[in-house]
Amino acid sequence: MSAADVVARLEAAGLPGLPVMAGNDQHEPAFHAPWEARIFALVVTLVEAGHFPWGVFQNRLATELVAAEGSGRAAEETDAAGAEGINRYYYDCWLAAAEATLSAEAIVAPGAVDNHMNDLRAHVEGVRNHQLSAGGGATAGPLAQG
Amino acid sequence: MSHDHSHDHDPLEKGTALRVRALEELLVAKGLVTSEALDTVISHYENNVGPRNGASVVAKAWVDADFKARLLADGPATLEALGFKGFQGEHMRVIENTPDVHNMVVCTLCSCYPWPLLGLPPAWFKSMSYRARAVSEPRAVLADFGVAVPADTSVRVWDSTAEVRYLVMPMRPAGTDVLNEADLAALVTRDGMIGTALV
Repeated sequence: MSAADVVARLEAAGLPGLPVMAGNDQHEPAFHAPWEARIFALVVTLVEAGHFPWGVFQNRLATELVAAEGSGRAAEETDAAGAEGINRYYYDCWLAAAEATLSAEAIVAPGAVDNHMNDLRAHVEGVRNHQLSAGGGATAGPLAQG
Repeated sequence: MSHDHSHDHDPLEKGTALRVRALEELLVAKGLVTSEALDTVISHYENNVGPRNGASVVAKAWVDADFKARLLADGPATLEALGFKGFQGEHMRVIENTPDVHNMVVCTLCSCYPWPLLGLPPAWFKSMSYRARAVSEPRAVLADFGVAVPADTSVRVWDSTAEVRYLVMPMRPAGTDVLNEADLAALVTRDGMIGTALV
């Protein structure tokens, strides 16, 4: 039953239409990119499992938002992309706050994320080179080792 | 054999998505989370929670005076009895709009919001502009949302925090005596429960 249906029924019954706001159902995607959903779920899952309290993360999130706003980035992203831009810098702040929290709680060592990113980049590059050379002959080795 | 080094064909290599994936993989490797658990959380917030939950509570309060009194007096216990509890839903306080007082909610620090009742906040609730202006010039913000609050109605702005999250109970529209609870719930909007719309 949507608001429009209810209003239609009221009007059919001879009652005045109600001052219902346009866009009553107000659907908006919770996330605009998959990584926004992943970092959201990571933090929620870690808090629910008791690895750190919500308030500890939330304080850092507020700090990151102040920084994004102070640097002008928040305004730029908002002007450039509206709701999508807001979500982008907002969840970027979640990521930064999550990393700061995990580092402070000694759960993830400083530099570990950068190192693993480099590993992933190298892996992606290796797969690509493998596929490209495999296209030319039978010299390509196995997809990955160790 | 040469190939394109721009990498535009692989969005995974763009910084943020890759960084989040790297962080997730590290935490999975440590046994602190599983990717399946994250999938479940995402699905829950995309599909199960949203403003319909809050709307059902408001409609129940409109038709049941005893429930309404309990809800306003003790939000957490009353909502928990209905099954609305959990993350970001602790310490809920419901505040009632009246002809004399219009309430609206902001989180000045970040984006504290009653997830179990309203789902995740809309982008504008997180925006710098709303968070600053809701406090400095609430009537102008309401006007931007198309809400004209009479001059003799006071506007109260509530700051949701990690400790207390607010939900506005809009006034029941006139002329809805014939409607049942389910029909009334369909009239209650998300913005009505943030206080940036009338119902």
